[in-house]
Amino acid sequence: MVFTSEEFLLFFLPLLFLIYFAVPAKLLQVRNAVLLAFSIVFYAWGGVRYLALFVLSLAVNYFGGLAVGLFKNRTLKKLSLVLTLAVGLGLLGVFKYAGFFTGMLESAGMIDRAVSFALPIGISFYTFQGLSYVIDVYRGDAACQKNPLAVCLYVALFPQLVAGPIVRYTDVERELVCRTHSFGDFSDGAVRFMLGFGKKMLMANPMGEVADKVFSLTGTSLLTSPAAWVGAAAYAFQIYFDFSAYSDMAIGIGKMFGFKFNENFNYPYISASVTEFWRRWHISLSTWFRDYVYISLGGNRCSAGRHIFNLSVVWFLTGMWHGASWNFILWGVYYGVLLILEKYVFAGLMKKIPKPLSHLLTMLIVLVGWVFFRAETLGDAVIYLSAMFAGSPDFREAEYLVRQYLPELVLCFIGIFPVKRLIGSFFEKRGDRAVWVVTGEVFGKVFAAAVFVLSYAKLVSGSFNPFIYFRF
Amino acid sequence: MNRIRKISSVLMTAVFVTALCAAMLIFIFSKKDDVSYYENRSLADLPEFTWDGALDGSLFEELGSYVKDHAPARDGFLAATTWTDINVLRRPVVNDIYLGDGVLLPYFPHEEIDTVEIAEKAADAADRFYERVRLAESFGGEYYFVAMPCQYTCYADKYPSYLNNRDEYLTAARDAFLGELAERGVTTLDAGELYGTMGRPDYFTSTVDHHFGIMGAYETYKAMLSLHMEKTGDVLDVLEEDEFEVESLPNKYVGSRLRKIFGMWESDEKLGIIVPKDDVPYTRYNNGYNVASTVVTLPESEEDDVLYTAYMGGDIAHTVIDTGRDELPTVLIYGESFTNAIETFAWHGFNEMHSLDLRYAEEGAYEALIEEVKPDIVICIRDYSVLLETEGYGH
Repeated sequence: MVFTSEEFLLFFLPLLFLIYFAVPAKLLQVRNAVLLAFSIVFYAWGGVRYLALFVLSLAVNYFGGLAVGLFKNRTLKKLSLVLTLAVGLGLLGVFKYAGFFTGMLESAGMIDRAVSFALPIGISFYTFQGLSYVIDVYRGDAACQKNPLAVCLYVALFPQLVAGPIVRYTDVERELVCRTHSFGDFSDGAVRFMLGFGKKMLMANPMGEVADKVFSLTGTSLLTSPAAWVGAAAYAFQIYFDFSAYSDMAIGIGKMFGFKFNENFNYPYISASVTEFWRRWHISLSTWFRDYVYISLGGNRCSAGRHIFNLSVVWFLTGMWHGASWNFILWGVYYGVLLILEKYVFAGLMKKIPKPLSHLLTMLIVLVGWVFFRAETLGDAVIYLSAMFAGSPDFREAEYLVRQYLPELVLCFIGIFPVKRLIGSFFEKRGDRAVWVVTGEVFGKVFAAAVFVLSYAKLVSGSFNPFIYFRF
Repeated sequence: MNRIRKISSVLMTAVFVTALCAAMLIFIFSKKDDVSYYENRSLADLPEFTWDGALDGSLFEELGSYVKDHAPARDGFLAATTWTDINVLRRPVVNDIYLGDGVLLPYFPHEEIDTVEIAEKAADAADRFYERVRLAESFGGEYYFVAMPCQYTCYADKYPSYLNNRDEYLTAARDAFLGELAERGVTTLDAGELYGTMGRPDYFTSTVDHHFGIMGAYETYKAMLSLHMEKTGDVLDVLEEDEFEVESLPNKYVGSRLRKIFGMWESDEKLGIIVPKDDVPYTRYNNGYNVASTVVTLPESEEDDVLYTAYMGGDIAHTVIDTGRDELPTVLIYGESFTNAIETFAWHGFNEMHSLDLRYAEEGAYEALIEEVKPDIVICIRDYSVLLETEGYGH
């Protein structure tokens, strides 16, 4: 199920509100059970057959965590961790990467036929989330959770289940057993949800239409240079507003039920370097790799050579995590190389470049990266990039797209900047902070409600509603 | 400040939860429509439960479509979105309709023209058609093929330079296909060329619908019968201009293009009908059943919208107009909805007029009808856009 669907808005959410809040607040375990039951329905909506794998994954994490936490013997502890990691990553490997690797073997003539499975929704997210719990228990950062309901709810909690943000166990450990609910939190969550809903419906989806249209022209004479640039820019807008909208909605829903998830995006398109971009983009994934892979490998407290190796491994894995194809691997390696270059080659130069120029350069790099990310194959990505930089200058398609989607393009352009923050600091500078807080309090809610109504109109009037991050 | 936050939070919570719960109740208790008028399609039915569907998720997908199609206030929101797109956001294309200067035109993505592929497709399509020609001729009938210009073909110059008017593709497709038919000895009529030679192609078509207007239908009819008379030397009873009156229906004409944008565009175009002065009695059969003797279905009142389906009562698999005058020839007109407007008066000079809509008729209906009726004249009417198609309307 997706948040931006009628069945979610008209049935799932209101029924959950009615049942969840009908349970007295002191019976938190019952409320948790309600949340878990709804989360399982939410997941099963994509097909009940995928539930078995999901339940297996939950069981592996629960028993893995239990074993790691309860064994006093260091070797047994480690063995339990390795086993849990092997099963968790093994399941991810089989369901996500079997087709890719056996496909390569098939191409090399080493096997007769490639083996592949349907990709279970959200497997990359819930696998990483579950493993982080077991690793945290092993490291002693979190206590072993004996209550299976709490572990299952942590992994299965529907707001972040299928598309993140990847919530760390330590962040919600306390809330799973003791959390408060208030009108303030619920209202803030509702506002966040409605604004995320609007981002998805009013910004990401229209940009997705543009990107899909242009990328579908790859390999034809219709993919002109202006159209390719418009398509790449539209995709950059789409992926940001789509993914961050999902995170907004997840954070918002979490808040309505008393959970406080960390932010996943921080205006990445205002970055002036690739390093900064990755500090602002998909923060929960970056920090996951930082804490569980990069630091485990030795981080940056080592020789330059070893550091470069560590970065290379992390970015290779980041690419792989996004998908089982060469495009994603290359996309990860592309960023790995750029980050290494920024750190070891261009560090001095970057300080001298004027900020607007370094910002433009960063955006150009990001745009090129998105082409690898969006193209169906590596060959398509090369064709697309060729069209961008050396294609026909025919403006007709681009002109149509810009005229047709001008309101959304303008909205997206404004949306990449921290407008609310800027307005707030404007009032603060004038000494009108109180005015801004009050206005923001009331106006923000009215604005969110208006956006929600417009988005609902868009939802019922359109059939174009894919969620990009569901494929990961 | 805390007080304001508290009050606004309680209000926000109440409004949000109440709105969602109210929408759920409205959905559950509201009457569900079967058809969406403006979208011109059936709405999704409530799916039946199957374990297979639940396992692979298709059941929930169908349930999702059902909820989507019957969402509360869906029509109102669809109309509001269309209105906003036209009047506030001023998009050039709304619901796939380009709002041109005095005309509504369909939007087409830019396309690559492959003349070799067009030639191959034209030869294949002509081969398929030729089988029907031979069958009609084997029973003594004369076969004619009429290629109709699409509405947008007549307004090709109304498209801005950044949109595709399909002129290049349609010209290539039409030339190739009619050329192939001519090579096989089939007599053809290009109504687009006819309208062009008459000076004002736009006069014969509609600004709000994808079909031609009544005068376009009339000129096509006249040219069709002239073609037969020239070819065979037969004399047909052609309805001349002084033998009928053109009546404009007072109702708002909501053509297919106007319907897609919820009628939100100023148009003074009226649906015209041809009323012969000479009253010829006839009996009408729809799919074998005797029905009222009428060829134009008028709306109940002048306030109601009128659609192109007023002609012949819309699309019907097999229609017969029998005037009981055995001395006159029998004609079969087949194709799709373009035949409807012509049929409202074409029956006038024939003993029997059969009309076959291949989209609704069963497979083999054409062949069975030719063998049974042995029509003297067979006329196929297709528009340019489907000449080379083998699927859907082109089939």
